[in-house]
Amino acid sequence: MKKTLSARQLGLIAFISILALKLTIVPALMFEKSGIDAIFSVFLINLVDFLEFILIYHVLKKNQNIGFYDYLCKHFGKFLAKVILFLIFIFYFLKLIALTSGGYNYSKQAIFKNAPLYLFLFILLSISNSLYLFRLKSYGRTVEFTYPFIVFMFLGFLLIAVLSAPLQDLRPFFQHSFGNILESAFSFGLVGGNFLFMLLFMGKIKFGKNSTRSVYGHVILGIFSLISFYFIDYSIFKYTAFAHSLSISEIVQFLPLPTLLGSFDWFAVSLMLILFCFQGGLYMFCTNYALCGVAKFKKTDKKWLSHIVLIFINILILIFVYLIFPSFFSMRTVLFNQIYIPIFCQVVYLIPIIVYLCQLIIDFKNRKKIRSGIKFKFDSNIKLKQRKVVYEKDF
Amino acid sequence: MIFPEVKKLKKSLNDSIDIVIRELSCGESEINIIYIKSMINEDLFVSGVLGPLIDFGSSLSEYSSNKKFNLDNLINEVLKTISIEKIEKKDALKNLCENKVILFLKGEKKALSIDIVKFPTRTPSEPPTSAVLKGPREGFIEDIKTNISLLRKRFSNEKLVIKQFKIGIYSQTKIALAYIDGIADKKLVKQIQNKLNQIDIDGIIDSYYLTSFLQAEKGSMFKQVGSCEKPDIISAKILEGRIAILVDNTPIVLTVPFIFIEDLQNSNDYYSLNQYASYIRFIRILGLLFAVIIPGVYLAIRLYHYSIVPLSFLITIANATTAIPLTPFLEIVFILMLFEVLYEVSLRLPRYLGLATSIVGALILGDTGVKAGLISPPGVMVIALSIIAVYTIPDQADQINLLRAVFIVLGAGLGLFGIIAGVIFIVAYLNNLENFNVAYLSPYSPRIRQDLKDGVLKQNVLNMKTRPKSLHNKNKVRLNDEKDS
Amino acid sequence: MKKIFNFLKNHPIYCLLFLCLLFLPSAVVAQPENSNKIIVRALGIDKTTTGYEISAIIFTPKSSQTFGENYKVVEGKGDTLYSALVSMSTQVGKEVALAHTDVIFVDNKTSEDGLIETIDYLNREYSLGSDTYVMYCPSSTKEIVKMANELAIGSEIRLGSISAYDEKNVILNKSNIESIYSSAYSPSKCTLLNVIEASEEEGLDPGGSGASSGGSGTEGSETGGSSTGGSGSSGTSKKLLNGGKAAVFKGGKKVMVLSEEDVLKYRFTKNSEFAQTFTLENFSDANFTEAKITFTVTKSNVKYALSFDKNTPICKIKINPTLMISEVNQSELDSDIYISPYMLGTKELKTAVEAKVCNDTKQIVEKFVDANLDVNQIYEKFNAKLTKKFQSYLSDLIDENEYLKGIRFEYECDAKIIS
Repeated sequence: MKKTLSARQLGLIAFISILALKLTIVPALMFEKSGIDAIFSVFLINLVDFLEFILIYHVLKKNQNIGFYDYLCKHFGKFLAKVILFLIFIFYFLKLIALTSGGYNYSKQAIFKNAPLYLFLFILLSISNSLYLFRLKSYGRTVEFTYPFIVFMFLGFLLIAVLSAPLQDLRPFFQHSFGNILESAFSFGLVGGNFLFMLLFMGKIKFGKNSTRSVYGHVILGIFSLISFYFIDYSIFKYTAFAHSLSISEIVQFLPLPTLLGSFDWFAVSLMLILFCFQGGLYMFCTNYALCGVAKFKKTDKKWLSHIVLIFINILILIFVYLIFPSFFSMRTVLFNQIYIPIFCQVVYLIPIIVYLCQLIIDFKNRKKIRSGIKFKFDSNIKLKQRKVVYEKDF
Repeated sequence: MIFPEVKKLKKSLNDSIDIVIRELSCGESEINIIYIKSMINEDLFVSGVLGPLIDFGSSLSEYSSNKKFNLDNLINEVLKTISIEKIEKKDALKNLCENKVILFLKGEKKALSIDIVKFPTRTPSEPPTSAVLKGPREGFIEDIKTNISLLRKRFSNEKLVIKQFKIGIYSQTKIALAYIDGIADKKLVKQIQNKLNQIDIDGIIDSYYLTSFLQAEKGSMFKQVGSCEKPDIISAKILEGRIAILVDNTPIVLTVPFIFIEDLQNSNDYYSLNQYASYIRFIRILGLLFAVIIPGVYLAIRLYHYSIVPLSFLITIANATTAIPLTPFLEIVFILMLFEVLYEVSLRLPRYLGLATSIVGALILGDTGVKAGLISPPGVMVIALSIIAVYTIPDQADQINLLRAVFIVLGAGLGLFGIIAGVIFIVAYLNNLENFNVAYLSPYSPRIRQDLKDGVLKQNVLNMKTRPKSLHNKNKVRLNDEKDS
Repeated sequence: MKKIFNFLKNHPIYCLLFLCLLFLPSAVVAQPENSNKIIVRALGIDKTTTGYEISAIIFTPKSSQTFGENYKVVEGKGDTLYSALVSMSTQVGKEVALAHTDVIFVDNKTSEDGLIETIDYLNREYSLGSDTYVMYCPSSTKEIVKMANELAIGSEIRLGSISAYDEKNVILNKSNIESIYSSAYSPSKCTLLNVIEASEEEGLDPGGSGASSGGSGTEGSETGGSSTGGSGSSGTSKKLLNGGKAAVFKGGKKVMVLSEEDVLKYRFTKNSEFAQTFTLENFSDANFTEAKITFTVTKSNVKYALSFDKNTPICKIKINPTLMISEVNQSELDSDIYISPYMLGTKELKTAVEAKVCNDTKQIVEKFVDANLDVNQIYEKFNAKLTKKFQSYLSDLIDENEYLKGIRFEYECDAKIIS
């Protein structure tokens, strides 16, 4: 299988997948639900994500030469494979809708006051489709190219906020019950599941010597900086965070710049726009790969299938954004305030666990086969390590 | 008497007036010499060919010798030129077209081809777009032989390989492939050879013709083949594992594979302090951003994002643009067109009219336009800055000029988001370009740590111990650690 | 069709160009954004019986080569703040743009009736940053706005600078939209706003003719309202903008105005690194005889040590100011007092300073306690550090809002006098 992504690029994409909407509208929405304790909800969501990441990474490393669809077909059968991929498609499609709607809401407030929805959609869909059409290799490299700017800007903003904004003591915590924290984390299930995309990239990743360190490092950096952002945001807007839905732009506005330099928030706006583009591209990849897997039959031409699926997804987005979720409020109500979507998200979160368990069973079976199949001379002088080497040499 | 084959040759060349046939008698034999008058070194012809033949003929008749002689005698005893070759008569036309002197001896089945070609050339001088403060000032010229010699003198080593091709049905342009055996990837050499061999074109006028055949993505506006006019830079690139392609009649030498960062590097960087080189490379990147993005950003913030403009700038811009009759987009396009027209005119005007044009352009069009209220000072400033900044990376001037236009439309139509999306699109597109399996934006994407030593931040030559990993070269080590004294 | 598709697929950059061309017509005819917007620099809100009257200093571009700033004052009326802004727009013919607004003034009636309801629109308006300064005016904001406009034209004094200076150096408290909202939703509910008022004293000359203000409403678009430019003559009454006071707001409503002396006392309850003055009157010791010594407080650190004594919360305010003698007023001056050892002062001087600091702090804290104003956010401090005990204390109270009165305040000062 052609390896188009390096492990480092995977880690960088994982870093970027954690950000975007979580830096804008989500802090305000979560604060409405559970106040300062929303930090723990975010922590919980990211903890679950990180645990899932560990499972997914293990599965990826074990299956470097097979695609996710083929893997599912092999171990679960075609029907279940298509069901799983369909669930993943729905999940990422909802994320794409949330990104579109939330991103438009943000852009409209931050810089583009009179911009119509179609303008934003046009730009976001164009860049997302372009990133998809340029293929995964180009996407990975583009993320790698812009990563230093993104990280520098994001961490720079956190530093500026810490140094210039009036930070307040966040205590006391747990003003709401632990149940409230769980409920909040549950309601915002769509915001999690950031690393599921890795499963879809199975077989396309080139693992090297320091891969694990690199990927883990970027994921931990991403989670850590996200949680720091929530701490800082809530420290600055301890009582009014619900009214600040442009969180990342608002935490830097306290920097006392002279009128010559104006306000600093347009750097934050630029960062968010870049992140929207990359996330849009990532979600486009995920929805496409998933739906292509669902729609794949023996006689379908692979090339044409992906184009048709791409057009279909774009049409669906337009229908959803214009007809079903005409406003940000309606999107927010459906995606975060009703019970169906969070339940669905929890079901999707089970997928990596199921895949991991399946992998464990496969590994166990393989070990059993090795033990029963191999014949070797038992030499009491050979140490245990050397015996292991004998195993690997034979297989 | 003119031999029939000589008559035939002249007829094949359509009896061109510069084809000269010289008949000579040498003893009992007759010699016919045919050549293109305008393409030979006449002094050498007289002193090395004609003179000795006449002397030989005289000596034969003086001593009434019936000595018979053949072509070998002429080569070994008579003619005083360096390059003489016995050729088949059927190859005479080809050799004559290569501007050689063809000598026919009566009774001989073969002919002699004498290379005393001389055509007008200039001396190697500093190329106008690669001026340096320190370092060599030689540049390639239009003669491939001289160019090869400029390259050879830098490699006193048997590993330098120079292979010749002739491409072009009518032009038969000489192309030379230069690389170092043991460093350049053999697969790459073979690939290029195959590509060159497959070219079936009527003529190659300039090396640019070849780029279309060599690049992976046909029709792309981005360069995929490097070009340079300086032998020191080409030598350095060959040492990194690249292959140089020299084309006759043009001073521009091509190199493959090409990565974007090559145009960011300048020979000055390698002959001065590396910290200064890093600083200057950073300035070049800023220049690139100014040239491409600033006009678009200016339009975007004027049309859609006034709130992000600092107040003092907003006051200045608002005051300066209040009475302008044109919309911001039209104003910028108008100023851009003015500058582009001036630029084209300045390239073509005779030198003595150049001063008048700059006065007309700068003072009358620029200053008067502002005073008349047709264009605004900020607009002129932005476009002027953009135009000047193009030449921080002159090798990418065409691309930058085109991209500027694209970003002006993006900024005016789609605002800041459009510009950001445009930048990401361009970067993604460049990342998709791969020529000869080398990523276009390496060593930044994919990140190749060891190649970053000669990236934007340049390190000392002592740290560059290995050849670039992004190029598929052999013999990676280029600098051994200092031996103990 | 297939050919076109393949061409676009192989040359994606043409795709990009083609898609951009769709927006080219709108780009060609688009006018600059600032040409159809009024850029408001300062906004004054007066509440009347019928609604709101607003006055704003707006920037009007003037075609010139000198790039000078050109300001006008425009007014508007409406039932709500938003409708008043809309009325201003209709008078000027341009949309109101608040992105560059430096400062907002609120008058007494607005402050007493409640700021939260009034500036709800300003909080929702995202182009107006939540760090925009808000200042309280005891009188009409119209007067302040007009005076500020004259000053801006005639001199380099800017309202934004005055607001920034006052917030940072005078009251040491954030005086912006965010602080008002934050205080309204916080348990302590209190915040301080800068006070600005006009003084009748002769002072800074606004700068002569004020010709750059653009005349007195003769230009078309500004005559709809009562736009007034500069005075146009040197016969204006000279007024001065006074700062230095602070208004205390509770739950978004004004409760009291602190005098300058009160503000000076209040500042000791805040950490500061900005120069402030401190005066010791009638001091006598070995070096000084009934001297009035003025100090510069270069730095002041304060810590709140919180504890509980049985069920009584104790708040110990520890103040550590660093002072420098800057002026001594004494009838018979001794040249010795200029020599450094004397400048450092004796133990008596230090004790006197500490006693006065403690006394001043006590006065202001008691003033706040009497008025039930938790300006120093004692509630938050206790709730953060000793949550359970404090909540238990609150639950024991008859009226939870009267928690301040049950807290025992103690004062400690360790002054450092440097040369």
